[in-house]
Amino acid sequence: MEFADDDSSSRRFDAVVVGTGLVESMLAAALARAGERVLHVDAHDYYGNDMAGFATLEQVRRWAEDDPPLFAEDHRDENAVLLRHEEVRVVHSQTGSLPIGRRLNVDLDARLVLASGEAVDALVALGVAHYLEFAAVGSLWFEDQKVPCSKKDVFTSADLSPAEKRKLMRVMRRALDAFEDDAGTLNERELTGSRALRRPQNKRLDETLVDDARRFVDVLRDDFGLAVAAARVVCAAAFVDPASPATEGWHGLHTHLRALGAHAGTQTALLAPIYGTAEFPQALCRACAVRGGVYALRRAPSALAVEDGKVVAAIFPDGARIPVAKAVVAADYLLTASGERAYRRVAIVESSDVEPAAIVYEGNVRCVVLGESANAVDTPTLRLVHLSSDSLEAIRDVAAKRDDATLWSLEVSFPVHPPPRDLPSNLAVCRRLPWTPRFDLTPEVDHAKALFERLRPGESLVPPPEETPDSPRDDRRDDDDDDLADLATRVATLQEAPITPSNLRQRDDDAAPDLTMPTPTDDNQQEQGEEQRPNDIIPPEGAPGDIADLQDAAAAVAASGDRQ
Amino acid sequence: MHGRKKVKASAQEVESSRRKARNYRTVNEHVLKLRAAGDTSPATLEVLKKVLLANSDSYTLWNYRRELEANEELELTAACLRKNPKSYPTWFHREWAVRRMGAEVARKELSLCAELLNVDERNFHCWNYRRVMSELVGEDAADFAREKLESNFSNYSAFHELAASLPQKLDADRARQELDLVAQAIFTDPDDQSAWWYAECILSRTDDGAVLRAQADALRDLRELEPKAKWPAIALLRVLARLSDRWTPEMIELHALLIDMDPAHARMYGAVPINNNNYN
Repeated sequence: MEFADDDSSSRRFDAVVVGTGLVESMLAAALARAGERVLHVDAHDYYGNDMAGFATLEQVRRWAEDDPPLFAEDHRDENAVLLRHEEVRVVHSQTGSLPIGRRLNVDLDARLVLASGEAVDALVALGVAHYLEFAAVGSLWFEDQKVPCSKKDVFTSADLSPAEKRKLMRVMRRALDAFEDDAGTLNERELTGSRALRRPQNKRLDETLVDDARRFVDVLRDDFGLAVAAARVVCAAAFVDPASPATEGWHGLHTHLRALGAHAGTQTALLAPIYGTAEFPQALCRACAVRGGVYALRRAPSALAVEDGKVVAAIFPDGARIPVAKAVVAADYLLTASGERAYRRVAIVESSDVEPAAIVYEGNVRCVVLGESANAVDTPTLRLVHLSSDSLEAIRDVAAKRDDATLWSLEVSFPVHPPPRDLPSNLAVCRRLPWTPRFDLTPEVDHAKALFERLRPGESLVPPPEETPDSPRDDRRDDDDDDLADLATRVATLQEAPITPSNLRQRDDDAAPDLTMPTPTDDNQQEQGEEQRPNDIIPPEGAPGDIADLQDAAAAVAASGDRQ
Repeated sequence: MHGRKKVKASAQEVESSRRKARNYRTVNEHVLKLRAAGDTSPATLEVLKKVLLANSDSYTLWNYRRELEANEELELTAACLRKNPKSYPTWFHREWAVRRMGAEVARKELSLCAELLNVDERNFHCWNYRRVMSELVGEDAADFAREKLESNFSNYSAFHELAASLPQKLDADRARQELDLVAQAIFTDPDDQSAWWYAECILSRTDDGAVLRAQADALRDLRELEPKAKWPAIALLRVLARLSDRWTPEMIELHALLIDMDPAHARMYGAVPINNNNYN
């Protein structure tokens, strides 16, 4: 190993991070931010693990066909955690008439973020906010019904009767008020809320909504009088399974509504990364590298040496032994498979559907439709349709129901990991979490937060923002203050005589101070020539219309002509 | 210049006149190029002044001057409005300038208003100005108002625009159509007063008993969902008063409820006028 130290007693790395998936990359960036020296490796030749992205179908084909490397298990010894690579199964792939060299951004996963909230806070805290750009997701759907997210959506909805509108608004108000702790943020309340929302009685934490015994749909139906169909739409807006407990539903709806209106002119609270979901792990790795993290692809340790219940070194297949004080490992590298799997289907289809769009389908299927505005494809008539679920059948049902004009598709199955047991205390295992109805990164962010606290007890992946004392307001100073002051001085020189019609006439004859503004001169403009000309040819004061006047003007025109 | 003897110009005078013409052509050509390039700088105005004093017979130059002056007004008012978007005199001055420039400019002003109302959808100065512009252009301002209401109906100016575009007497169909818009709004947010104001306006322009009764039914539905909301109760009381020549039990109940909810306005609720004509 080229990064192995000659003298292994002096440690060059504080932490080894194995795998470049989202959670591992968040931890790598956070550890580097905390001043640790991070060695970040991945057995693959691309970043992102199951959040990788590929620019051509040829790259996807290579990814799908080349078996991920398995490691020689020649380090069997009692004091080591063995690493290998878990199989990712390509269930089915269809190649159609699409030219293989198209410029695409085919991601293995399509994820979105809420415009404000936990995930955005984490991305900002980890220093990757300025690496990422987003496109506003135009609409959120439940099956073929638009999910009304705001007062505006409810007002304009053609699917809802007036009474349903009232009931839905009551649910949304309730969710907004439910966990309200900070009324000062720019959110839906600020934008469209009426004064009624700011009544003091709406401010308190609403204990009545904490209900783990009842399902969210039941509460919506029984307590708020929503029809089942409408309740199902609310569940989609809350990004929860209809069967989830009410508390979870209220919380999901609350975080969604709070994120609305964070950016002016957006229709939903969701944002899609415009260079693909793979940008998330890649940006995090970049942030780690900027803080001194060392990167190696196509490299992974085959075992972690353990002493006294702690990881002490990473052992590479070539025998290199790199001492470390802690380790982060993607669960894919550990021999802890569960039977559960997560399924994804990505397809390139001919369509002119609105994009980016997020769709929730009955039967636990999440769908993200991406197009040109997220740089997923290079043609206005193509869409990338991502489906994900905990069931392959459900995905296939939805694909059949959508009946897209599919040019290319890929179905992949990933292992899901149960929480590991009996691990060394300085080892964090990043699991692939079970499928959830959430489009955004919150589950992964929560997972990374918990692991970070395990590795650095008492510290937080997303530290609370530092209290900055309110800076005094800048002196309100307009651009024209100087001009005004200048004018005032000139007027002051005129004050000696009272202003009367007669001495105004006199003043014309005298060389009275010039009250007209000096023409601003801008050095940059001089080089532009054409625009600058008029200033150049203002003739000097004199008898107007005189031949001399015209002469001067003509000379000035000629001169500016020469200069070009 | 009649009755003067024609004197042959001396060679010197001819030469001087030629030079003047040459100079004039040079400058004129330059100014025309500036106009073609869309130059609007104040310095050009100064140049134009000199050229026109030399030869005032050019329609083109006078037209250019008009454009420049009008443009100067537009630029100045735009800069002022950026600093102070609610300045009455500035808006009036801009209106004066545009009126002199005609429909062509007014059309551009409409898109400018749309931008400004995107930033602040409730700037009534801008709404008032826009109404003048749409008159100059001959456009129906109601369409724009409806569009703005769709994005946020908590907007008195937009409702006013809509009301202003409607005739003083509405036929039953039109009234129903507008009351449907009202229903979408008041069911979405019964605490938002702007839609209630519009409802009052629409109801005041119809005498159709069926329309009033349908409105009363809609309000009863809303009251069922929001028994504690003030505006549905007020509106229902007012509609019922128009439908009845005496205080009905339902009205008395609403009256008592309103006084209970909002004692400060007790006398106002007592003054609900009872209708003398019976709508059938």
